[in-house]
Amino acid sequence: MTDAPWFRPAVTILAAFGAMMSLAAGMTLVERKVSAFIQERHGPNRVGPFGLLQPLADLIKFVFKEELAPDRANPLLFLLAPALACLPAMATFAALPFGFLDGKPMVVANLDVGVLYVLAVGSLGVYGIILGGWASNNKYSLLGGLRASAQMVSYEISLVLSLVSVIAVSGSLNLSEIVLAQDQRWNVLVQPVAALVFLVTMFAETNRHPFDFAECEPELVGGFHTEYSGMRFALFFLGEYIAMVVMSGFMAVLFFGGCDVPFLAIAATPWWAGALAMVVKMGFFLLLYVWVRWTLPRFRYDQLMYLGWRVLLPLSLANLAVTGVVLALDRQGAAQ
Amino acid sequence: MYFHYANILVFLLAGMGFVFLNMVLGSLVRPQRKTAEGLEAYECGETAIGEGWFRFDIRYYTVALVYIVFAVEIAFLFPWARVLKQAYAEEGLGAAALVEGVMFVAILLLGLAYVWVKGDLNWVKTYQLEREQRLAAQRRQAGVKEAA
Amino acid sequence: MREALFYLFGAGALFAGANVVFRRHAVPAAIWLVACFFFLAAEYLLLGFPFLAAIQVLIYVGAIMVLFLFVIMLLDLHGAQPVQAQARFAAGLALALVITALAAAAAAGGEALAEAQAPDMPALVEALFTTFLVPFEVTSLLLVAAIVGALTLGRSPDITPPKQRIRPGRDTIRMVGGAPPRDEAQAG
Repeated sequence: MTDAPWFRPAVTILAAFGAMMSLAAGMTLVERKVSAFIQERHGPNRVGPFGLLQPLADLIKFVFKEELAPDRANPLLFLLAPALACLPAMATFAALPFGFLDGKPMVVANLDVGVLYVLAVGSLGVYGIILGGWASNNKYSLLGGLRASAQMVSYEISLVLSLVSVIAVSGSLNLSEIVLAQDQRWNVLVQPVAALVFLVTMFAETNRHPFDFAECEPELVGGFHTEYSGMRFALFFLGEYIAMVVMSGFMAVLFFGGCDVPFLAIAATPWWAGALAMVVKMGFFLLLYVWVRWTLPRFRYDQLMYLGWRVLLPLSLANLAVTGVVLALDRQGAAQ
Repeated sequence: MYFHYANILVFLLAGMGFVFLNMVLGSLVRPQRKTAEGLEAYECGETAIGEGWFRFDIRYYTVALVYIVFAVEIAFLFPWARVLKQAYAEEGLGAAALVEGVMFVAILLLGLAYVWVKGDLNWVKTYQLEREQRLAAQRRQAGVKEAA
Repeated sequence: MREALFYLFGAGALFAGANVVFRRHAVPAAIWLVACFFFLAAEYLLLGFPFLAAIQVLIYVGAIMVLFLFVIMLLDLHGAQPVQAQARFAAGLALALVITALAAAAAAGGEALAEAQAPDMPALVEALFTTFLVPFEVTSLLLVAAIVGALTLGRSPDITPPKQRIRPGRDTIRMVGGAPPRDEAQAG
């Protein structure tokens, strides 16, 4: 049975789905635990040993909560928006390579246009937010949705430009090939500026602190999900957490060698060690999300726009130009 | 190639199933106690005035517009970056590829410079207004003092 | 299989396109347009152009439709009167004619389409940097012109709140049913 052609894809899809869900659910617990640690509290510790079953308890609670919808809301879009926020994030996870087994990448879909696929599908996440905000027929929701979408599109340009430099260095759009190209030297050493730009934009793209204007509590109550409750609310959050997991994964894959264990050739790494290295790297960036949340104050909206358009955009464009020139000089140096 | 996209489809169907199941599961067990207050738009306890749909600021439109132009630019840069290394490896093609790419970006930088200089990237446009008001208020106060 | 999927996605695109025209409100119509773009991306994929499919989603769905939604919401079309029935019928008829014409043209060129080999990306870029170099560079000029033009329109005094329109003390938000604003109370 293990030789059947459908076996490996089926196992990969199952494993990827399980990994995605457990990472997202685990992140909800880790976020609360680490927040508690930073604030010298205990955090959730009642459900299960050390509060480990807290995500399960949350799920049960969400299922049993009443779902309210304003009677003036647009019913269909109001129902659709949480799914639209959740599904694009899930779809991008399918392109994350977790290592190599028998010389083939462990990934749901090894796409030749992998980077573009992730960007294209990832850019759809904005629909869940903008439609959720609009369909609620609530002023806070609409403002939150607008702010979030304007923020996401502002930072997407810099995000994509930083990736274009990585593509120029790697000479490929295939995520597995980008990982293989980093066997000797991680991209973060070659492209430190691009890595920095990506790091900043990944916070903005997931609407996380210090860029969480979508749900800026002091002014907008809950932002675009003010009117959402119960399972629909949970789906918005699931989408946000999966997006964080995916973003951390791409940070690891594009700049930190993905499944590459330092000082060990990728071809010589056992598959489980590669997958472990990948998860450890993702875990670090997920922790960073929480760490930053309790370290930096929230930006002001005009500061956010300033940073996106006048700092990160010129920086990433300049980085791309320098990359082009350096690659040309590098080529000439090698030829002589 | 289609094999990988089919995989994505299966993965996405699993995700859709998960989302659908959660919504259906909730509708079976959750309470349904609709009250008039519960159906109102939430405005921190105040009765909402008017619709939630209102005309908002033009600045959001400006941002989305500038974004589109840069997104189109990037669409052209992807294939350029993809073959840059190969172009350098070939004799005579490398310099041309670099110059063409840099020219393309430079012309678009003109666009960015225009937007920047014209102040369309300024999120806060009311500084000027506030400053004028403050100065006017100061003048008024000075006038009141003189009159006294 | 491939052919069946091609026609399936084509039918989906037509269905979504018809919905764009026949929806009463602009926001659901925009969502149907997004669906239509997705079906078209699937068609590109089936024809062997994954790059084009990804760009279609990234540009049309991820960028242009977001702007459309912004504009629809900005103009607050929800309260606007739906278009007259005759106008909708006329629009539908025009759409049907256009679709028929396009379908006929596509059927005529279908053979050539099936024969065409999908180029890989290096080939695409080589064409872009040699044969189509001038159009490529002109595109960037066009994009700059687009920025300048659109922003000039956006800056027109009809839509931008100009300084005169905000009258401090008079245009500020009032509490309904509460005390009058302090300025007026003092003045009174």
